[in-house]
Amino acid sequence: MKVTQFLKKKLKPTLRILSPILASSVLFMAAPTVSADETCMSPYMAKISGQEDFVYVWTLGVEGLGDGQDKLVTVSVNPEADDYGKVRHVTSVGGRNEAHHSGFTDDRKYLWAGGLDTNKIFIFDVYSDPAKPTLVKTIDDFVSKTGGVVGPHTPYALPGRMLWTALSNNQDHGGRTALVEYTNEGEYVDTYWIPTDDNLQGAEKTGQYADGYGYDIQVLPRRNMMLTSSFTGWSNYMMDFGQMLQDKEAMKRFGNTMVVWDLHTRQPKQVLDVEGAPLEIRCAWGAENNYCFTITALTAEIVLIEEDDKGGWKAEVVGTVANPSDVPLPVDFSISSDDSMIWVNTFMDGTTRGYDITDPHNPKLAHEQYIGEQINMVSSSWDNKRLYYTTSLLANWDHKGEKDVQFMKLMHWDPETKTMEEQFHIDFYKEKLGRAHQMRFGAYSLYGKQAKHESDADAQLALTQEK
Amino acid sequence: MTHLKKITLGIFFSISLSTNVQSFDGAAGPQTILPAPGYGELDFEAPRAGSYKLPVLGYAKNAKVIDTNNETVSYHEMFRGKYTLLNFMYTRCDDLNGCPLTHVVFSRIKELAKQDPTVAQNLQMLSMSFDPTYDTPEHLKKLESGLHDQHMDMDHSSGHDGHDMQHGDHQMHHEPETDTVNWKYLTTHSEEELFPILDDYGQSVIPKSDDAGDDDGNFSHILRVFLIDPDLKIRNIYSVSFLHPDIIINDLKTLMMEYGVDESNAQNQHLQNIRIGAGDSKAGYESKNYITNSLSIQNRQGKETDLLKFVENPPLGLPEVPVPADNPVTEAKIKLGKKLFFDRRLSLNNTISCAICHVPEQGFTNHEILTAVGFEGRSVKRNAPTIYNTAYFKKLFHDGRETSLEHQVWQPMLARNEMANPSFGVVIEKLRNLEDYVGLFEAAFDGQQASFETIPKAIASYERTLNSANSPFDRWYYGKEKDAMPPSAIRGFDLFAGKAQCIACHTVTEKHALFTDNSLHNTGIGWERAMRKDPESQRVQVAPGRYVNVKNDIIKSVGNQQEGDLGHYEVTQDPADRWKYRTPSLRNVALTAPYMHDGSLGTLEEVVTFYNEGGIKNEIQSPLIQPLNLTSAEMEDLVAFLKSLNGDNVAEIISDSFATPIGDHSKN
Repeated sequence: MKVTQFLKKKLKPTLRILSPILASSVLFMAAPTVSADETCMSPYMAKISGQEDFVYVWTLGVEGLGDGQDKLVTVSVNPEADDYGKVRHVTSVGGRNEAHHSGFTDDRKYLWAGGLDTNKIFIFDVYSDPAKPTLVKTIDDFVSKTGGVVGPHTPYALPGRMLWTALSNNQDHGGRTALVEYTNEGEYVDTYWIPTDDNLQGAEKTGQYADGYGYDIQVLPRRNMMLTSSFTGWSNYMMDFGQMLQDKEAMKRFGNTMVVWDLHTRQPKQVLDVEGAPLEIRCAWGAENNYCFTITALTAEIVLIEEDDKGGWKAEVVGTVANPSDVPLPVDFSISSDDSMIWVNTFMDGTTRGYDITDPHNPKLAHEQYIGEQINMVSSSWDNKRLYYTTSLLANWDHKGEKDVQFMKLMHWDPETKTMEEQFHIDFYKEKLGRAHQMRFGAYSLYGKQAKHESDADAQLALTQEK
Repeated sequence: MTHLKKITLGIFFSISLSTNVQSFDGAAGPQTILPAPGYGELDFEAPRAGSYKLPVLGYAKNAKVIDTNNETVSYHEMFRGKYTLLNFMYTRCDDLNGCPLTHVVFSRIKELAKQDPTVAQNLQMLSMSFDPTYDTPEHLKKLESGLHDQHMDMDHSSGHDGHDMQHGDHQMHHEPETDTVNWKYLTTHSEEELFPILDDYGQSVIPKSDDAGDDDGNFSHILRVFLIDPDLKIRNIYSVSFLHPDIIINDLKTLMMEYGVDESNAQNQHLQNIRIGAGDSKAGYESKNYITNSLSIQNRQGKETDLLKFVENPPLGLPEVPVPADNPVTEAKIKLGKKLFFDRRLSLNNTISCAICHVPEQGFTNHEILTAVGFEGRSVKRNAPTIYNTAYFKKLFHDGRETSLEHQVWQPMLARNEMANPSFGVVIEKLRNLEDYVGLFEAAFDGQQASFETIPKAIASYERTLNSANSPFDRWYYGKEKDAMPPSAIRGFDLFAGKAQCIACHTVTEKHALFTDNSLHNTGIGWERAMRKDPESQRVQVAPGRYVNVKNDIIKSVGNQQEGDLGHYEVTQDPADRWKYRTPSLRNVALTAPYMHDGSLGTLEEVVTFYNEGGIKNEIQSPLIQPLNLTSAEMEDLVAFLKSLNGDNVAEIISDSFATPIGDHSKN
């Protein structure tokens, strides 16, 4: 056996914990040999260096369906496993909490999952047995500890810490909110309120708005930059969607800002005007690519956030998604690891669109495909070839009646032929699970483990064999 | 000669006469122009504050400038929340009716404000130089320091030499003076930074040339002074003939009245800081010119007050407070009831308190949604009504289905789409086991625990204190204060009681006014909601000033069928009672938008227009509602009257609620 083959064999299932610098340089330069991990997580995160074994789907319980509770659904996704494309395990957490986003700690041993309604944070051990995550801790004093923050939304791994965005507050259930920091052990650290007009906290209000709203978070460590976006408060995200569209006051309560923060000090530096509820943020990975994208839900605009020539950052609309006047409602999107594409889902028409962002100022539509009713989340493999899709947006925003389908689908994307093919799909209603929301990837290789279950023993064997 | 006149003349002489008119820094030049009115007394009496309106003239654009410490500051940061006078000037100016005039007028305002703390606390004056080459921060700092000296000296003497104003080598730090108007000088680093600002404010400035064609250091410019409100809107622009302290101060007071600043409370600073209205203000969101005016959550702080006084001595305009014999109001019950009112643990999943739908600064209703949202986001079919003055209501809820506050309290706690508790017992047991409630019920109710009876009695006791009156109307009508209500509101009351016949349902009696007949009426709003045909599309706002038409099919595909609403019929089952809803009190009505039982009318103007058109006709519409044929001016007067019904204790009640901890699940 050649040395390179030997190393390849030994390293393949091994955990590579890489620093952000490594992540943005060594790992990415070697991208062709690295096979998978989602591309939207913290750069501080440990990376998988093989086929993902599981997708953890944070799922909303539905009253009258199954046990009616929120649950973490573990789906087997390694093609070598016997139960490929099937649900491996389910952990119910009690109650309907408006399950929404989840995220790993930087060591990827724990998955934190939040409930937008009840403000509970559920912490799962995903390393003891990646096939069967176990609920090890529930934080249920989030609101009182944080000084009134409501709606823990996105957990984001920082070294040894978890930084949560949130959506609301306990005083008027509106959109003014904060970031909240915890240790990896689940101890509350601090609350950082999003700047408002009366307390900009030293930030520059660059335009007309400083609404104090929050939603997503991404960082560019090499620029000491942290970026947050803005959505809406409890009254809106919990409201019946059809009712809200007809509520002219409610429709005024959406975020129109993004905030640039000093990552190191957690101090806000600039409030940027980005109208129409800028939701997910995806920052480029390339070492020289100091820019991020967001897409506005209500106005369907692709927005580029990049450095200006004055030492700050600016936001610029660089494109639109579908026909904005039809309110396509772009929701989640994913960026490829080589910064060449973004995949954008539109909830209203169930379509995913791939945009070529080689020129970040001019995104070009490269592919468009109907995936299924009301798709919301998309998670991409590192090589941009496997795209996982789920459906639910928010419990009371999802379609009613026939269009309310709930599934998880795996699509394979072939960049050469520009075709996309379904590999499997799981009907979350048929399985009595609930509304499929956000996905995170798991793998034995992260922890240097072997598969424990007969069902995927062959798969694990296949993984460890030289091909 | 009065002290003021001495000062005025002192300044005047120091700047003009004593040295044949000189610039701020002493460059003299002959002038023969007559001094503008701002140097002396007005030839006419300045219009009375509050007797007129100041229209919005535009948006005060933002700019980055530097202060006298060479620090970069932004206009908006300085303007927001303050009433601002902004002038453009240069210190070498020798035009008697130019920059020196503004300087004198600002000085006089500063002096007058010493006797008027409301003005002193709310006004700031900013003098912006358009001569950055000469007016450097260092140079202006000397002048700014001189202002302070001048101010200090003026307390003792009317004489002052203009040169002394810039005797500023001393770097003495002056403590902020709370009793005087803050006056700052501003400049820019360069003309490149300056010109866009001048353009934004329409300030024409042209350098003057000497005989050789070189700039002589002077500028030809138009005197313009801007009055800017706390929401960054320009509300007046003064030129030479109107730049007078009396006019400006009355304009300022007019604006402050519009913003609800009560002069009598000027000393009570913590109430001054209470904003009545949503902390996340969306005023003007319909326009692309919308600018945020948001308050931080962490600064939502207040001071506890004695609420019992509003029961024992109800404010002017309200009758004696009806109190059930079996539930006398006590301080202990009020405090306990208030704690319960703000406790989110009273809902099944610890997310919804009474105050989440009845938000104190939003008029104890919710400005942010038309109809309420309850447990797990479930829809409530009606608007959250205000709880101000509910102590007097004989029928509660929009459909009038309940008869006492004590009875009413349990319904939201048990309603599946509100707080969703499955039983009385669950709530009672929960409260008995919460550590922070230990002993509180026993202390308030002679040893009785939290129970089916004591829980609503406590909450009702708090609600029974929220009595708000002594409004401008009450002071005018019952207190016989002639100037308590502006003329437009007085005309509005005449219409209210006369041509418009609002008073038929919104009752006013000789000694007090509840502005409700405690009855129910069909205006047509409910009928229309139930019977109207669906439109093909609806206009939906997606951003400030941006709208899209959304097909109704799309709206329906993501919305549940709305619950039917037949009003009082749901209580009586009598078809004649279909779509009848309770007459709300009009007290504090300007604070309780959106209006009607379904929140469908967003402003008082819309409400008045609705009634002017006779409501919405239907077979069983109340005969009391008829087209009114009011003119636009009359409708404006009617609205002015409705805006005169705000109680004078609103800020105090809000502040008290801010001081109440919100109950959330805690491990402690």
